Amino acid sequence: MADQTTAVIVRSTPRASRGLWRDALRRLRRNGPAIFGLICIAIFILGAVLAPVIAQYDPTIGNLASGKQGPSLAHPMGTDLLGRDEFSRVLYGARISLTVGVVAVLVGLAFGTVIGAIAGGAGGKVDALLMRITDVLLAVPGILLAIGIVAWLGHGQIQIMLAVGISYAPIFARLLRGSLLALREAEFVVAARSIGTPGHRILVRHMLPNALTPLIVQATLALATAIIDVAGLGFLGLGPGDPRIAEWGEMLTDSARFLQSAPYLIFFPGAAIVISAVGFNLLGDGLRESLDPRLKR
Amino acid sequence: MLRYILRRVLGAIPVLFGLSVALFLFLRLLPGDPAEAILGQHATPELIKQIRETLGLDQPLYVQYLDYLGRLLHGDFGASIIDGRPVADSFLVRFPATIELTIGALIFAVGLGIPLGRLAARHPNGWIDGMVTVLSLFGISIPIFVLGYTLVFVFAVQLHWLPALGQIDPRLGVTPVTHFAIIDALLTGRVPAIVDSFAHLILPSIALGSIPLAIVTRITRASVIEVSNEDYVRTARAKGLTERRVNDRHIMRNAWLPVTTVIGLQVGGLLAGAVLTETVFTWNGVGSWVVTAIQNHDYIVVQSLILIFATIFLTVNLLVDIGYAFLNPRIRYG
Amino acid sequence: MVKQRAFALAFAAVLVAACSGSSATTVPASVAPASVAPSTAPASVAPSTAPASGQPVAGGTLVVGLDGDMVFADPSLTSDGNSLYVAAQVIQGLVGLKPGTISEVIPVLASALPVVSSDGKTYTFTLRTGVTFHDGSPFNAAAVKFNYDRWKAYPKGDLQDNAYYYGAVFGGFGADSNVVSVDAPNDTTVVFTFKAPQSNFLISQTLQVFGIQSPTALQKDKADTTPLKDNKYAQGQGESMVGTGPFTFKEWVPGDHVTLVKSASYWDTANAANVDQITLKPMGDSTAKLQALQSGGIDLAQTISPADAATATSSGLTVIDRGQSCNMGYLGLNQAFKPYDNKDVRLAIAYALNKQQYIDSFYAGQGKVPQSWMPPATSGFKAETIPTYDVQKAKDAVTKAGLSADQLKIDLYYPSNVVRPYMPDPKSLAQAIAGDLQAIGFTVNLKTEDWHGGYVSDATNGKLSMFLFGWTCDWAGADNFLYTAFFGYQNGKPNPQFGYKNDQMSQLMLQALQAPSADQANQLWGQVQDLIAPDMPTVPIVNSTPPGAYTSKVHGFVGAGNAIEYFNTVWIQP
Repeated sequence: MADQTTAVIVRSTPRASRGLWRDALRRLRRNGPAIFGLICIAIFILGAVLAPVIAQYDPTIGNLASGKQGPSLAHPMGTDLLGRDEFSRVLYGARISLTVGVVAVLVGLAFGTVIGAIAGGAGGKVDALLMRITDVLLAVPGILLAIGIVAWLGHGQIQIMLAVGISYAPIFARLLRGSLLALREAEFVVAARSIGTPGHRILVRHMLPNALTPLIVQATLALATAIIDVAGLGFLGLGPGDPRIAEWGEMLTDSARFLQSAPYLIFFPGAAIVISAVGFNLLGDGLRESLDPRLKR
Repeated sequence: MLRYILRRVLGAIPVLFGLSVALFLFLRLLPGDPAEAILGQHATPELIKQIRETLGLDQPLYVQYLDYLGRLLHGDFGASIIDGRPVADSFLVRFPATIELTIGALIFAVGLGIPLGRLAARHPNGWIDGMVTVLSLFGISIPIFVLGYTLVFVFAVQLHWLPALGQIDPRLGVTPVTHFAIIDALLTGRVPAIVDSFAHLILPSIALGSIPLAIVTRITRASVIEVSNEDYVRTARAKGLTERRVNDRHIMRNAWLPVTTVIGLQVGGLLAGAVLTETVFTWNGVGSWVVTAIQNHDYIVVQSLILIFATIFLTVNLLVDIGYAFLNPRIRYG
Repeated sequence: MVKQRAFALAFAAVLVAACSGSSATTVPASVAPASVAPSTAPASVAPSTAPASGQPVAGGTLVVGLDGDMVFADPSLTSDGNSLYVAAQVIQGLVGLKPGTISEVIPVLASALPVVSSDGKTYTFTLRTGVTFHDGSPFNAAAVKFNYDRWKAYPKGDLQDNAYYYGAVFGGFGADSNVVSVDAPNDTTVVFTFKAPQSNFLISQTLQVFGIQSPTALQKDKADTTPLKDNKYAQGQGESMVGTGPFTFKEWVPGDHVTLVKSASYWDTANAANVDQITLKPMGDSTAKLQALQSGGIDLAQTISPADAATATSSGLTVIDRGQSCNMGYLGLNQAFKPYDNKDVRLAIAYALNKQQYIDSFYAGQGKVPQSWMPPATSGFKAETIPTYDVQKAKDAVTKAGLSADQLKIDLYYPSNVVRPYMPDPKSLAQAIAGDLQAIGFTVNLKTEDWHGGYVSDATNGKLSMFLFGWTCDWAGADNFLYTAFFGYQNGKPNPQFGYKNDQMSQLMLQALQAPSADQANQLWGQVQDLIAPDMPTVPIVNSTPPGAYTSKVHGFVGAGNAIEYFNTVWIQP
């Protein structure tokens, strides 16, 4: 009986059930830029997955004597300073960039949602304390965070994922907390509370699903910057431990000095980074627009 | 309002304190030593030990920290470990360059971003909008140093239209007084020097401002679109007001709010971007200074600089929030 | 907000990125000991014949891109290449190097090379007359004595810490210094008395660090103030770096530029400066330097990246030929770690490296494969037989060593975020070496540490098993390479960096250091190299000559392998 009443009240307000998502998908399909973004992403995921099949050369081994050669039939993207095939390196680099980007965002989401949910759900002193800590983390430039984690744990892919992920956590935490705090006063939550639904149930069943959508949008956009951030860390020399492994950021920054003598070495990894970042951005924007319940289209 | 400000300022103190402790510990725990930086290839275990003694680095950590804190509270920001120069003096020499860069970048970003955003919002999802969106995405995604190098290559090396480095041409003999190149040039009253100082600001402003430009454009566009769909705008239109009146009075005034918030928040990002820009364009600002200091393990300089940055960042945040409350009558803080 | 994170990380990125160009390249002056017999070489340290075509034109400002900023305006407190590069234009010592060479000593403020006693413990210099300091005070024997006494008397603390070279050359300060006394019996005679003979004395004094500064200025500006943060002279405020050279020190805006102005009262009027002013700007980024040259923003860059050498030439710039190398890059092997205690393994590695290819790929061909453990123009150099690239011989040596599969897995350390004259691209060099070692059967695990973040101290403390390293000479003497840098025993034990025990070699080195004449010393140094070569304790890879560049406006510039170069011969003509 009580459940029925709850159900009635809940249904008359936005909910994270099938209705919203089906609408969103429909709107997304009509959004040109978002589709373009999706295609860009798909190309790179394909490239990353099929790298061992498509690449003709080992990305870590090259002939020094044939270094810094321009694009040719044998090497469509040229060779780098050490004579390695650039095309193979871009393909294998996609694996790293996308993997590390995705895992980093997931790490950030994991930490962020836990902290944000506790802060937003509990409120009061717990919230204040957690937000103070987040403030300090936000005031520390992410670079120190990244250097710190790598200095502490050493170079390597896992450390990079942790470093980037943890630097995103405060942002996700704040976002979720903000949404939750706003939702606390929403009609359907007040109603659920007034009929005696236990706190954690309200949180999990009613508040979180609604609060998650902005997080999802932000996460997609974060993927875009994660790719750039990972590249930036590669720039820092905090890339994967072994420099022979192809990683876009390191490739880009190693070649920065070849701007005039071998611009193709900057162009191809640079284009890869930009296109994948643009792809995720477009998709994220599209998601944000299509998930916006206020749009009547 | 006053209580709110007071609360924020008081709240900032523990943040800064915590930051200083965290920074201190972190820097000391990193491998490497200013002694190594001083000696370079001449480092031997004996000499390193000797220098560490002179610098007081062999004291227990808490002693070193209290020492630093004590001096800080007296307004003494310490001196560089490497060349002994007081941090405050070097800061006054270098900060103006970063400010010039930042202002230049902001003028570029806002001056171009708001009109572009409004243009894109006029016909949402039209082809102008599409182009502006893609352009701004590229602005966000292209690394600053790549953009910087390319700008220099095209405009300085190939076309010889603009200079490649520095704040001003040393051959013009402008005496550094304030270390703001434009002001120093104005002080000489010589037109070629003044023109030269502006010319040196153009490319770096574009490079540094590329990301804020993209963001301001997108926020303006989003904000204008959102406000245009509001009921009161529709009412205004229904009332028969000219489009221009609707624009200026109703749309832009409300659209400004998120834009100003974002601009204020860009300051932190601009500082980070300034580091790259100063390196590419060889500007003697605090960005490149922090880089060198970190490389050299110049603890005192890094600690003091980052505390100064954090203070600036928090102050700007506070000003932005106050400004926001000012502009938006619906938000008032107790 | 997420973008904010990106900037913060970009911030970090920049920190590291910027590292790659701006590490101080210590390119110390090289000193040529040559023979101690008095030479009749021309007086001025500044080159007397401008080799370029045309007549010098007076006037103009020369803008130079320095590798990094100066550290102190008092040369006696510096040991970095940038400070010395600037000081070379302003300060002069008793002796110097013949321009364009790294080991030929010529008298500068002395009128001739000194008279040395037969036991090698007394050096008598006759000074040049008619020389004044930039502040007008007279240069004389008392001034020389003042300077040497001042350095010897540096108290413990930051003054001694920063006066590295005095301590390194003379063994310490005060009573520990090998200099018993410096006497000025009359205005033009200076007599040095030593506890023990020192064969590297003369060549070490060509270092800019031992330049003579005006006692009047030193006293007036309290140049001995400690701590250094209160020392205005060393900070370049007020009157600083007051010497006798063709340029005077005018202004230093830290991090931005140093300005030198032509000296109107230079004593060697035939070699006075042509340009009116030099502005030196520290520039850490190699691409920025190249583009600044191409656009005319700077006239000359102290060094450019080897990667840009070809582009520079095709843009119409002149690449500076530095002639005689004064450095050595090598692969260090630490015999405290297996399998490097096995001589066959060390030889195998020596055969496996394709050094000439590295030089072509990473040094733009600006370097030579070493023939010993120091560059050929070094005083005391002796050519030895060093294994050349031969994969088959390498494999044979590996087989002979009989290593287990486990022992074939080795670590190779390289430094990150640093550019050294002998190693402009450590990361690429390490990968190339790893490739060559893998070709003979090793599995190489690449490891890195930040150069300033522990690499140097870990290497010198003997914590690294196989590592890339090098040495830029302080002066072009065998002692500086073999003893100071490489294999001198420390506290009676082999240098932990290499763990190379050879007592006979050690004794010979100590004898050479105290030989009464340079010739006797060089004989002994030759024997030392004969002992080292068959043991192959480290694998020499390159003697490089880092390129610089200048625009077509610049004439009369003479490059030197130790990168101590003089601008008084330069003129500007568009």
